[in-house]
Amino acid sequence: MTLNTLNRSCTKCRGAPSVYYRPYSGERLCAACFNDSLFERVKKTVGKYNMFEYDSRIAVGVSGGKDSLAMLRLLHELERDRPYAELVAVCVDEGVKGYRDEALSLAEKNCSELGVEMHTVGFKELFGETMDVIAARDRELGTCSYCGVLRRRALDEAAKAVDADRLATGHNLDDMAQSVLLNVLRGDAMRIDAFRPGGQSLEGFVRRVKPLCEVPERETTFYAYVNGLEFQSLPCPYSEEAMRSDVRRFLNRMEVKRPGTKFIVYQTGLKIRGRGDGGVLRRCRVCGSPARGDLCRACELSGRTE
Amino acid sequence: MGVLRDAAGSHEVRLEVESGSSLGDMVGRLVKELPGLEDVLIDRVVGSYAPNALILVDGVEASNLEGPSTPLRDGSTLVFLPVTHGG
Repeated sequence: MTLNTLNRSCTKCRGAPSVYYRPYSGERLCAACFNDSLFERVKKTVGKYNMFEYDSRIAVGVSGGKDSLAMLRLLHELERDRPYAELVAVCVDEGVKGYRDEALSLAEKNCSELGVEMHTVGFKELFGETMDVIAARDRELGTCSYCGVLRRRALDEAAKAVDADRLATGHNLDDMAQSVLLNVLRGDAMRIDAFRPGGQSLEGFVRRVKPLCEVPERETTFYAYVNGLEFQSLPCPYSEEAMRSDVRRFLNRMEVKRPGTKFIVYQTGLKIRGRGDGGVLRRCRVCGSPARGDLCRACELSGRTE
Repeated sequence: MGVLRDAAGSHEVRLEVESGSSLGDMVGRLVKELPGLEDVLIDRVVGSYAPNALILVDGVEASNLEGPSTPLRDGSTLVFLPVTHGG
């Protein structure tokens, strides 16, 4: 068999040769139909969870990686027909040397190409120290436990600083499925209940939404490549410490063996949501930020009690 | 690209394989020539690159062809895209 005879036509347009196969649906797509299908999926997700208003000012969390750059491009396309909506990119510099610096310059390049304003906040200016300094200390929890919490806080601050009413983050289907399993493995009923791709509103805080929540990571990777997006594809040097890496490996293996696993886990997360002891956002009694309990995670980790 | 490029030590590698070789044969040769690549590219449990990377053969993602059994032709270009966590 030659390569030409192996290459089947696109199952959507039936015209062009296909370049991508979706094992979970059996679709074989040409590059144009692949792009269209990703756009349609994001559009449908945004509509399903009422993520934006017609005049939303959307802070797009951009890290320079494939997911956030793909999301930026897709949202740019989506919002082109909404003249009253605006996009502004917000970036966080955690101060991880040799990792974030390259990513931020790629973020800037991509934003400039789309004519999207970019606003960067740093851990050093917000919290007084970089992630490299925190990682080097003796501490109870893993690096990612600190970084995740502080990154979320930094993004919230950045979104407020640019007067956004929505904060879009590039969490993809893989991230969502991993979170479901992580929360089950940790017995974290409150987080299970808080599983909301469309976010929640709390006065004074920017609602956080996840437009890529139903797009597999392999597809954001392929989208970035076929659209010539220059993105950073190095993992964070601290990422292997996290339990999430173990869950990620497990899910990737399961997906190869049983295509569709990630969608099933994600949808299970949506179904079991609401059966915990309540995921309604409250305010941290120390700093007033959104919190699941009495204190927000940032105040908990820093030991602040008043 | 990315972490695979760093593990390989180069963004481009040229390899000669026997006529009639498959993608799987090429990947096997590649990890032999570049031992640093194996840990990053191949998942030991599954025994394949599939959980960690997309491989394009002349612009087509390999699972849209015959996966590791995809036959290669003279002058085939392969692109290895790591599927890396972190957006």
